[in-house]
Amino acid sequence: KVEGTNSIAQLIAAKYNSPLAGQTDSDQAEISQWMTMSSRHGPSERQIFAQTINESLVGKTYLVSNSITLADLIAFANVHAFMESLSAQKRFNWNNFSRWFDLVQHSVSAEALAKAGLKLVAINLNAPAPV
Amino acid sequence: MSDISPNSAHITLVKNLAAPPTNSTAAAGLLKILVAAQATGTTVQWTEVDAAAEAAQATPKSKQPFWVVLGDSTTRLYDANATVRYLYKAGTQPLADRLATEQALEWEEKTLSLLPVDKDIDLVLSAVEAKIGQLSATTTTVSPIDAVIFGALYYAVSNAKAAVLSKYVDIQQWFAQKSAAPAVAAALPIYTANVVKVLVREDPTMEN
Repeated sequence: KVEGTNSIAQLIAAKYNSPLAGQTDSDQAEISQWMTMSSRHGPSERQIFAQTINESLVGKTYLVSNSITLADLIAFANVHAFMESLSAQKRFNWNNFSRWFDLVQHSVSAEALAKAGLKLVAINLNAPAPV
Repeated sequence: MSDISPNSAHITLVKNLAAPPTNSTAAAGLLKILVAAQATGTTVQWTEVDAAAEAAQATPKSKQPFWVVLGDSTTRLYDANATVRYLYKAGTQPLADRLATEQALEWEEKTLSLLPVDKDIDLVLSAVEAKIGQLSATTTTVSPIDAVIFGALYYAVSNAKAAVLSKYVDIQQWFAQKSAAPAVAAALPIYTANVVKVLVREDPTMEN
């Protein structure tokens, strides 16, 4: 019996897709940090978490290293509902966050998203029209 | 950027704010890191934050009392458990061992660390008593699980009243064993020198 969603995710990644679990010791440590951070940010703290993601992604494509990892997938699941609630202006203001979110959601198959109970969020990466 | 070299035998602990109080998560995290570093033979280098450099950094502005920089890389860790995983090379453990470690650390992250250690020591100890036998062997060996649980429990056990502590025989035995470990014995003086002691507020009585 395995308890804990993060532990289960780590187990699956280690067995079937090791790059998701990180290639180096430091990558693995960073991934675990993001997973922990994700689990500590509940619904009332999604904005704080989204802001942290946005700031962390300056000059970076993914949260850890140069490829998608568990850090991206777990964080994506955490903030999915929050992204759905954001206005176009807010999405534009948090440009790194929006860019990353759109990349991750298109890196996962639509079928996988549906099985996870998530849907594709329409992200307009262009600046909103002036009021 | 991530380092691609093997784990360097040192980490840098950057002191950002004032020393954390002993009843804080940050203090528990500091003890976890120090014990893990001692147990793995990793050198801890200490430095003060460079405020000007931080202001120019395009990274999240941390309000943590400290953070860890890994080896000679620029990778920062703000979470103590992540640092412990790094120091023990958790990712290279056999899968079964890694899974046991991950489950224990996840339980600590999601359950134990959220309990009000400074308000209800009894609650904290009762939560651990039920699991300590599963989490760790009562020996002087210090595993990553030991480093994390010891750090998380240190304040509670150190400040528990005798009447409270006497109810938790397994914890007492485990704590005594771990306290005797060379890694713990070496870490505690460093920890004590870098935290602010917080007095436990006694329950109101006619005497006080």
